[in-house]
Amino acid sequence: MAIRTIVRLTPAKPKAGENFKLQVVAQHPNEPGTRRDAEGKIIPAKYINQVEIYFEGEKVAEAKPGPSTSANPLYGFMFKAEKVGTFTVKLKDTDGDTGEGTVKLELA
Amino acid sequence: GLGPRALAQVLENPSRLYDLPPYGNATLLYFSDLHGQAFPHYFMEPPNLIAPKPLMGRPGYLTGEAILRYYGVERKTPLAYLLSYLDFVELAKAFGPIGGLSALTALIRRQKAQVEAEGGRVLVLDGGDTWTNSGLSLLTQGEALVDWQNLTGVDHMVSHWEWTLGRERAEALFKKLKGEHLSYNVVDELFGDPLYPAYRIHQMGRYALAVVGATYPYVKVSHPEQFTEGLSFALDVRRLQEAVDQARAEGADAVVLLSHNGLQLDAALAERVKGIDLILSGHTHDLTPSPWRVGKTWIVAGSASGKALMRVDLELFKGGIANLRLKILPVLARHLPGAPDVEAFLEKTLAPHRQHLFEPLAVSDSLLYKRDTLYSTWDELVGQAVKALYPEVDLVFSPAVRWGTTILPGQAITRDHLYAYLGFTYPDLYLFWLHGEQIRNTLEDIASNVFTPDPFYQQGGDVSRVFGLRYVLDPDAPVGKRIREVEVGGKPLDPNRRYLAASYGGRLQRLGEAKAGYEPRPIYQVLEEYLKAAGHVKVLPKPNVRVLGRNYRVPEVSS
Amino acid sequence: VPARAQALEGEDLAKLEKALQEVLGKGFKDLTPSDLIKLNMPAIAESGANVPAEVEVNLPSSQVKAIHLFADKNPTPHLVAVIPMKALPYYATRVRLAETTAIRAVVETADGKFLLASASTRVTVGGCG
Ligand SMILES: [Mn+2]
Ligand SMILES: [Mn+2]
Repeated sequence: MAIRTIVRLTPAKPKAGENFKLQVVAQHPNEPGTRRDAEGKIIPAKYINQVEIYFEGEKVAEAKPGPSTSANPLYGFMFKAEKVGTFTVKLKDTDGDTGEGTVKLELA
Repeated sequence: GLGPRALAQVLENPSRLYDLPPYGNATLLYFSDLHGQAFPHYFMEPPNLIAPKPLMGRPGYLTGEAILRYYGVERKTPLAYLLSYLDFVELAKAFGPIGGLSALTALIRRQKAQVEAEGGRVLVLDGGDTWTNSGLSLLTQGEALVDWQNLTGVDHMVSHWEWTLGRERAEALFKKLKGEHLSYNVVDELFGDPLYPAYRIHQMGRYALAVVGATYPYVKVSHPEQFTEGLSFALDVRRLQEAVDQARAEGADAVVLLSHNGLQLDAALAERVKGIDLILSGHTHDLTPSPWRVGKTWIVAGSASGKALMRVDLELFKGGIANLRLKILPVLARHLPGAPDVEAFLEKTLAPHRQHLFEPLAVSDSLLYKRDTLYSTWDELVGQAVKALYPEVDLVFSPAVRWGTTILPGQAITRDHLYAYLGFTYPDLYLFWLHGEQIRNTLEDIASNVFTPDPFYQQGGDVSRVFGLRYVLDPDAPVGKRIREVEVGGKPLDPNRRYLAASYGGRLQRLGEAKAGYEPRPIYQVLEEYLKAAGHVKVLPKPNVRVLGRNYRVPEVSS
Repeated sequence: VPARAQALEGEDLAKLEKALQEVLGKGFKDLTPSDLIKLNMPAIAESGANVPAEVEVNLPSSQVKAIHLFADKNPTPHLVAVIPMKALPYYATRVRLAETTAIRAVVETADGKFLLASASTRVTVGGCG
């Protein structure tokens, strides 16, 4: 199943040369593999272990989260605004499920 | 202070307490932590507020004679009655009950009218913990308190227990409030977006005054999370600094932080955040008869339970607050006029519930009080009640909330009193099994929250009371070594044995395994059943904790 | 080397050492505490299941190869590896903390140094009024 992926820039329209945040929120249980269910059975691990950020098709940042990331996780990066273009965020979890989100960088 | 003769005159002519000459160019009327107490009642301050060693002697940790000495208050005066547990029963009889919505509104209106008649501007500020923990609150899910705030003309409020009505209800009531809820730190959990204005700027004559709001930062730590899904309340020094800077950049000459952080955390923030002139500090229920100066910031604590209205008159200038005058206006209900519209409103709202709220359930033959760092006769009574109804229980945990009321010797206990002590929106009593080791760790965990000298690691609470268990507390020992010689039922705690614990008003039950066949029921029903069967109760204070390195005091409970 | 005044709450150097060796092939003694790294952690977590963590590195992007986060007491102490590439050396996330623990930000620089910032977050049962 596709992982729901929301991407946002803050400020939404930075000035050229200004730093801005790129925040990604994913809808995902991020099960670490250490938690137990109501019957006491271990819930198997299933978590996002790859976060890739592309700008106009070029990979510009990457994170490899481990099992201890929160459910519905946040991944925050910071960039300097130079030119307009589109960010694409690609997520992948330990089962191979993927998610993708995009956001356009416009300059104030 | 007032001598006995002056006192008699004051009570003949209360205007001496309440008529103040004008001062400065802006006035704040501030109260906090009302906890929904609708009617005049009694409230005894804690006999002990045990401090971590480096914080000893500071405001917030003073009790009894020490607090009177610190503020230069004479014994047996109205202010001594509000401040200290000493002579409590005697003073309660002499001065009568404190608080009540009608008297508080009348006092606020009269002060406001006085200032405005002299051309001054007034803001009415509510420090939060207003909507919950009483019969009136439970019967109306907090709404009656909002109606009262609207009748009274509250300009701004901040929040804590309000959230235990549930996010949806709290949000609806914030909409109903004619004043404005301010919060720099209630944010949407997803991206951290603020959900309320952090501040509001008011033109006070020639000067602009910003009020910044701070919500209790541990709402999610202290209460069941289901009440606040999707929200975060976390302390954020940087965000607070940004709010203060932004208010100044927008033209505020002075900045007041209306805060529900608690006194010690506010004192620590005063050192870290630049540009706050005054903090009005709630949550820890302290009363500071003179302002506490920390760096360039004044701090005034808001008392609780409807005891007092703080009148803070400000001498503003271009850069902030040049000087201020603080007057504590005791809400001595017997000696203040009421507000007829508030009385009519309460009468109407409670008409169907009178019998339920005010039926006497039992008579207390001794003083029942709640506030103290470690122990109270009220919590002892709760322990006795639970143990009487569930004899298999080994120990009873009572949450160390600061709210409650006080029952004088000879006074009848009503359901309204039960709600004043036990009025949780999550009132269930749980029975569950804990291992000895878990009990020990829990006590250490709580002690580390209360006795850490760093206010950023305190959560502003007292220590959970545990009935059926005895221990020695060394508040000065390092983390993990504060609790010693734990005994249950007169025998040393066995780390490997299972014990049957009872608890309410917290989250402790989650640590253990629920007792099979027991259906959780509200703690106030348990107490009611016990009280009705007993007819009379008498609880003499027998603290179950021995405190090393401190002089632990016990109040007079009979007279 | 100046002795540290006090151990961090929730410190577990043995467990951390093992994770550092596994992930970086380095030990705690190979890390240099640095004021260039700011690790923002709450003193008290609102919920251990959801603790915000933020690292800011005061170095030019070109000098930062990777940012790592560790939690000493977690079942798997390594929380994340971040390769900033064209991003500024900054990362924010939310993590699970099993119990009160020390948190480490380790920054691997282009010239082969390992810089360290530490913080501590208390995870508690809580309960107060
Ligand atoms: Mn309160
Ligand atoms: Mn509070």
